[in-house]
Amino acid sequence: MTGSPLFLQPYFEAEASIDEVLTLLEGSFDARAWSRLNELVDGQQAHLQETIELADRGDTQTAQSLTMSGRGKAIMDEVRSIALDGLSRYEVKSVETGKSLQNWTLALNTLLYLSALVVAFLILLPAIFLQRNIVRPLNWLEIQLQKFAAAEIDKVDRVQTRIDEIRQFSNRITTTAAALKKTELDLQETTNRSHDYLSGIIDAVPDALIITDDQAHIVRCNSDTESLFGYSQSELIGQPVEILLPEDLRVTHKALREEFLKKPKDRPMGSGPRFVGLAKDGTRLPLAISLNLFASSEGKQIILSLRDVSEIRNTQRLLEKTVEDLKDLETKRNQIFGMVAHELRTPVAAISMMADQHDDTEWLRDRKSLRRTVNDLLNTIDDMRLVINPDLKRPIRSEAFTVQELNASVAANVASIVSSSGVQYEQSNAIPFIFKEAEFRSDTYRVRVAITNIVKNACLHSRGTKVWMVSRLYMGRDGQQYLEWLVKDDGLGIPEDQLDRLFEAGERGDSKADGSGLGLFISKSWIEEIGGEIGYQRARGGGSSFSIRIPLLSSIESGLTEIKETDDGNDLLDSVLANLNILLVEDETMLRMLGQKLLLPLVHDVQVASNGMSGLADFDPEYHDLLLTDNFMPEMSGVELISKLRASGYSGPIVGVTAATIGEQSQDMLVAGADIVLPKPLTKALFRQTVAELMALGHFERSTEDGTEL
Amino acid sequence: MRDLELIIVEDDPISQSVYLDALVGTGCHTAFCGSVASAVSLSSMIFPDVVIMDLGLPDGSGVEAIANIRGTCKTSAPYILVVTASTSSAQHQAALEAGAKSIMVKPIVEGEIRRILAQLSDS
Repeated sequence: MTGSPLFLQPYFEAEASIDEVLTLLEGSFDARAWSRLNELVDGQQAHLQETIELADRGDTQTAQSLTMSGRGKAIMDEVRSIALDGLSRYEVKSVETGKSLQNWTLALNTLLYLSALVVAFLILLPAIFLQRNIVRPLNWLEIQLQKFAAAEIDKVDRVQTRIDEIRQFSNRITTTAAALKKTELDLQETTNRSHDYLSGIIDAVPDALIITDDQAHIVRCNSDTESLFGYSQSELIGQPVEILLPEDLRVTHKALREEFLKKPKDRPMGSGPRFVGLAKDGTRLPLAISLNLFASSEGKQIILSLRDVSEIRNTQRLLEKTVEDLKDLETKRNQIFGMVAHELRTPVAAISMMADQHDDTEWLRDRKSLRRTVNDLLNTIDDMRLVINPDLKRPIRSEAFTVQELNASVAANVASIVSSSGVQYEQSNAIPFIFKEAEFRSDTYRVRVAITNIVKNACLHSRGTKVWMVSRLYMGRDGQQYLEWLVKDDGLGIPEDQLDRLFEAGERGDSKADGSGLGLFISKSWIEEIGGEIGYQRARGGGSSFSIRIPLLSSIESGLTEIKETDDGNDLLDSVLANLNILLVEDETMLRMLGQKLLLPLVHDVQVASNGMSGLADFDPEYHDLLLTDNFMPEMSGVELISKLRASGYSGPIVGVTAATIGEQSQDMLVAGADIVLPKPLTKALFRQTVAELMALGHFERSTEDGTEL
Repeated sequence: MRDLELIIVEDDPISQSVYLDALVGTGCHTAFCGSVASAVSLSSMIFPDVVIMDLGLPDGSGVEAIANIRGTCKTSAPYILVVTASTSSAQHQAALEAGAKSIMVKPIVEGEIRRILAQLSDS
């Protein structure tokens, strides 16, 4: 009805009320009333419809006049009267209806209640369920949450407190740490000081000191250890102690030290078995060792003191060697004495034979061979001096010789060895014919001894069957010609390993035969001293081959000096000699007689005495111009005689004559007051020379004056 | 350059002297002899590198000595130089057949001797 004009509103409301009343009163009206009513209502509705339609067509004037006409009012009044009538009847019906309504209400209420119950039940149950399973747990949860929250808060509080405490504590710790640091520094200083002190002590110990742990690892050692073994400390620390042992002893040592740890017992220096250590450079060191076990803060530790006893052992060895050398020396001395006895016996036997077989005239005839024999004897004596004092050089002599003669004397010297050794000896002279009779000059004794020596060695030691000696020439590349003696054998030759030492003192090759061992050594030095050479080489065809060569010097060319027994043409000396009165003191009858015989032709007079005592008695300073005295004599020695004469104030010339060219004895007579000491034997030349020397010393001035007066 | 072991078999003293002059400074160990017997004997001992051999010797011919030395010194195989006054080619031939290496007819030529020795010393 939108769009309906507002003035229609009461109609619509009335219509609605009528509808409402009709609905309410339906049934309470009789049929006629009801039909009239419906007519009226329909009329009304038609009237209304008409009006509405008019209004809708916009003819509001007509609609309004229609409404104002009262036609609606008349309808409505009639309706009202019918309705009132119907109402009065409705009242009665209403009471009845009321009653039934009441019943119905009661039933409805009951139903409602029941429904309510059902509804309540349906609602409550879930509610209860909710209450129980959701709300309550939620509540509980909430409570728990609250509790939890409370606890957390509490915790946070407590943590905070704790943090505070910690902070405080930390502060305290910082303070304490600072204090501790200081203490530590103090301690460090103290430790350093005690460490230095300990190191000082450890290093001051004269032994090598090693400290190991119970596994024998080196934890500490001193500087003596470094110098003894040649390792630095850093190389040793942490190493097993076996590093200082030779490999062959390491396993044994391990066992020993394990045993020691099981039954530890301190061992003082030198009490245990001797140890051998191994230095870094591989040297084996004999060691005395001491062990001490001690418990330190770092566990069991072992202190080892090691002492190098190689010096002690070296000394011991040196001592043993000295004893051995002494024994060797004794053996050598015996050999030398044996050799000397042999060398002396041969010429002495020759002299003896000559003395036995010949009368005086024959002596003179055999002078040459006698002289050679005697020279050999003197040379042998000189060699003894050389053996005793190797610093003394053998004087170099120069003698005329022919190779023929020299070879013959070698043959004579080796004859006995050749026959006793059973070897076949062959000797030939292969120098040019023109040289065979020629005289050369050299120290023939040296050459002869060297050749003889080598031939003898070949006979005795070569183990061959044959020995050759050939004299020949060597045409040196320097243009010099040499006389060369080749000595060859067909023996084993000298082993390579002995060649180096072949010419050394004490070496005589691989041989069990007797020999002084000095032969080759002396021969080599002798020959070299006269400008020659001795060499060895393996012989062609087997065996050994030695060669001795000396420069070929003809007798005329020789630059070497010779003691000449010729008149030196000194008139003054001759006049002194002619006036000289001599006292010769000598206990050996033969020498005394020979000396007197030798000197008499040279001087005015020779008187003799047989010992120092009679010499002292016989010497007359007024008569005798010169005293010649031996040293070793019975009753009184030459030294004593000289001392006594000098003590008595005698200042004239005294000459000692001694056989003791070995050692210091000749010195004794000089000390006692002799002007000159001569070696025996006395010769005319030597005597002349001596008198000349005495003159040079200012003696014989009286004799000279006498001579001048004469 | 090595020293040579040399044997000179020459019975004439003057010829020996000529060799002496020729050999100065050569470094030769030199044995002189003047007979077949001594030549053979020395060779058996020395085992020479070089033998200078005269043919006319008092106790026989040098040819004999050459044969003998060749036999004795097989290992050292010495160089045998015949120096002879003989001009007989038959004799020369005999010497060469016996084992001589070369033949020089006297007079002795020093330079030639030195040349041969120097050559052998260097070989």
